[in-house]
Amino acid sequence: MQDVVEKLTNGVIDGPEDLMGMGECLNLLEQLEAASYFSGEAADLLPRIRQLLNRMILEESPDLQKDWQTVQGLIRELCPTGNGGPESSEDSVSHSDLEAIKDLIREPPAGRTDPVGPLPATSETAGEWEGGSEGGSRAPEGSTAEMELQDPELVRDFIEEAKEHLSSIELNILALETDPKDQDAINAIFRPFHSIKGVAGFLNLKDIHHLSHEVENLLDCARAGKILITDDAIDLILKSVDLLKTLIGVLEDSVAQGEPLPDNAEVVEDFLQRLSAFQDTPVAEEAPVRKLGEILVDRGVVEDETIHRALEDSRASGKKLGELLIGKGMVSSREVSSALREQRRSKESAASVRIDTHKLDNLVDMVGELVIAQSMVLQNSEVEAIKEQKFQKDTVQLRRITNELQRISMAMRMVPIKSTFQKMIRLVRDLSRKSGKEVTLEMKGEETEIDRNMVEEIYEPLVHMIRNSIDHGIESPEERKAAGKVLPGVIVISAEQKGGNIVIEIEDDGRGLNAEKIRSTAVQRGVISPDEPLDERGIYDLIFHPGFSTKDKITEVSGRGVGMDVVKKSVERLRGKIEISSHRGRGTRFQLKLPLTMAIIDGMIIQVGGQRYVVPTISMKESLRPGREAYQTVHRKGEAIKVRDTLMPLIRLHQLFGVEPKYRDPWEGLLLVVNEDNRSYCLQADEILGRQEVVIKSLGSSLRHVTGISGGAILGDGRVALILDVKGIVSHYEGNSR
Amino acid sequence: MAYKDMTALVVDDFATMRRIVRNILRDLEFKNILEAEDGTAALEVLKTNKVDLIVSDWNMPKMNGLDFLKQVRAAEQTKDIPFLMVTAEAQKENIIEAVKAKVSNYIVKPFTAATLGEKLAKILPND
Repeated sequence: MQDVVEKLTNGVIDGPEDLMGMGECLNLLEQLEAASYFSGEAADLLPRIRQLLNRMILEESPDLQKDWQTVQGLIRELCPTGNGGPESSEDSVSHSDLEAIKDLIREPPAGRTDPVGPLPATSETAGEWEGGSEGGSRAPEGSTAEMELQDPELVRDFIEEAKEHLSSIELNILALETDPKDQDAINAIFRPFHSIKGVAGFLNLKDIHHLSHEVENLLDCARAGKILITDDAIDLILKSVDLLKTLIGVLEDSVAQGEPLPDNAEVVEDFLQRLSAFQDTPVAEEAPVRKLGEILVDRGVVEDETIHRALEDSRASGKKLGELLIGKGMVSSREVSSALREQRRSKESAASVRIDTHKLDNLVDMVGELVIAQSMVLQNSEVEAIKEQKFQKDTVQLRRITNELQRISMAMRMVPIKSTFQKMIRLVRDLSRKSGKEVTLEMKGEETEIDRNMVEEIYEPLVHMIRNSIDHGIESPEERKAAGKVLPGVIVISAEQKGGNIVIEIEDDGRGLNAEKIRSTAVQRGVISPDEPLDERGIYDLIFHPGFSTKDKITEVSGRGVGMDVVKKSVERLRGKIEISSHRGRGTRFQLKLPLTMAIIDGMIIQVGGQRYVVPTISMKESLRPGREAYQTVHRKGEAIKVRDTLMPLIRLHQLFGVEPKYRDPWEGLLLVVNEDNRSYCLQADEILGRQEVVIKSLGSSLRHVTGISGGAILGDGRVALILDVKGIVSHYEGNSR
Repeated sequence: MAYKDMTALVVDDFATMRRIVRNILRDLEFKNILEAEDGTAALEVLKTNKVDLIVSDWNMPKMNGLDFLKQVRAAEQTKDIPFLMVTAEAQKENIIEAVKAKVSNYIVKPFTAATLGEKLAKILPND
């Protein structure tokens, strides 16, 4: 210890601004303190020197020079044997001065709320400002902050980055919900607010700065264990994320239009009052942390009793609960790992680059064109005549490369559906709180990939369906208890790729659809006539009718009858299908069948006269060539084909499009069976030429509304084929025949 | 200012923040400005580059500014590099820890170009 004292005596600090020296000095003092080297009055000096150094370091010293001299004086008093540091002889402090200073620092150390004297000139005051609630906000004077605001690129960077960080908050908050004390999770949420606050300070974005600063404070308290993250706190944090998103949206607009940023202080102020009200209420109660055992019991994997016994064993043996349960064969390791996953959702990161979606769409378009151009070249009759072997080999190679290129460019547009599903977690959470129902969401197949353009399009329909499931499907806790059902209610959302389609299912274990009630409501609203014969499925489909709602009470959650008809329209716009199945008292399942991508369809190329058309494979059930006896004419309903005892209306495509067909009689041509609204129809064509994936081309505005046509495609030989809009054809037919 | 031959390393997980610091350093005529998004990445940069100044944020994922500082000070090749810690007003108290770990100086967000210039003048050799 003597050498420590010696170092101290020789002076480790070069001057009042030598932070490294002060750090060294603090370390030495701590060593002496820890070793109880001094006793009596000398020992009392140590913390005082430390206090002085601390406030010098933190630039909270009212007079830096004076503090510096005091520190030197005190160190000399502490180690009187030495001859002092370099400045010691001149800067000596009189004994009375020293006493006065000692009195001064005997007062409680200057906290952040205590008044701090004016800062000396050495510390920077110009341009420094605080957006926090304390100290008021001093505007930066002639600072870079204002200069930076005029750097729109920097602001745009900030907007992009802030958005990204905000969505990361939403994901991490779910982890926090699983374990409210998870420090990593709190930190992961704290950091984005912190970073956004920091940059907003520079860019002089006061509202954003102010808001993120206050949320940061809240989280800081949580980090220090002063408050507990309750459901209410999470609600508040999520709300602040929403508000920040709005503020950033406003910023984005004003940057884009070159307008000054409107003042949102009022909105922010309003929210901050709620925030501070929350912070002021002491939270003493312990919020429940979901335990592994609880999750397993909730999932019905094991009995409560079993868990209790296993927990006792676990305490006795020191083994982990999961291991014990697996060891005893009570649960499978899969169940445990899935429960553990629920307990702690891990975040993932992947190396990636961000690309403008337009560029990506362009690339995919151009690759499509490339494939077509290649076909046109290779199918040119003169090129086809070339029999040279090297040329043949090279064309094979070229085809392989373009195919691969097409596959890759398509894959680039594919994103996992996970992020969309994850947004539903929050939705379910918000809705179940709002409606007072207990609901959990389970997800399956989140890794399934889907076209990114599609992702945005299916978001709304999914939201509608989940709202519906919670509002109409899942019963209130009392009803569930009365029906002997488990709590909470479960909504399962799953995705799966089946062939060229993606199938999304939303299944709840609620009360199921009430066919009689739907029927009577439909009659009452004039949707159907009272004597309309409808099977169960037909009745279920009525809920897709515009303006239909069986809920007697209009709730905040799903509102009035808008919903399912909108869902159906959106799904059809995506060239998808929606189906319902339901069991009374056991639940309802919606199944969405969507094409994998919007840019390409899997289609059958058919020939009608001299024209070729593409029929989307998703709308086709089968193709057949009927016998002559299957053809019937039905009174007032027109022509029909009997297929396996079902009469299907016949639609002659050549009549519809006005082309001269090869075969007039349906038993000579080929019939395509399509399904629309649970009814089958036969479309008459001449023949099927093959099945092909085609890149969809829009027909342009003038041809957008042609009946029965949804777009065009360029086939391998360079000729254009029209893509049939089966739904349009059927409704045109129904319109004419009624 | 005589920073024309110097290489600075800016460490922050928020890209916009790095850019703000970079812009100021560029105006101060640093020859080279390197960037890293956290302590771990910064240590990698230090392995292959001669750096005359480190400006690092405190709050970063994986390895925070303090741990990064300790690692810098622990390695022979990097222990003398001037290290400026960037911190927020609310976390200012933490600075004492950084000072004990031999940080050269620190700066509180948000700061101005002039303030950063002053701090650099204090910790960088100017001749």
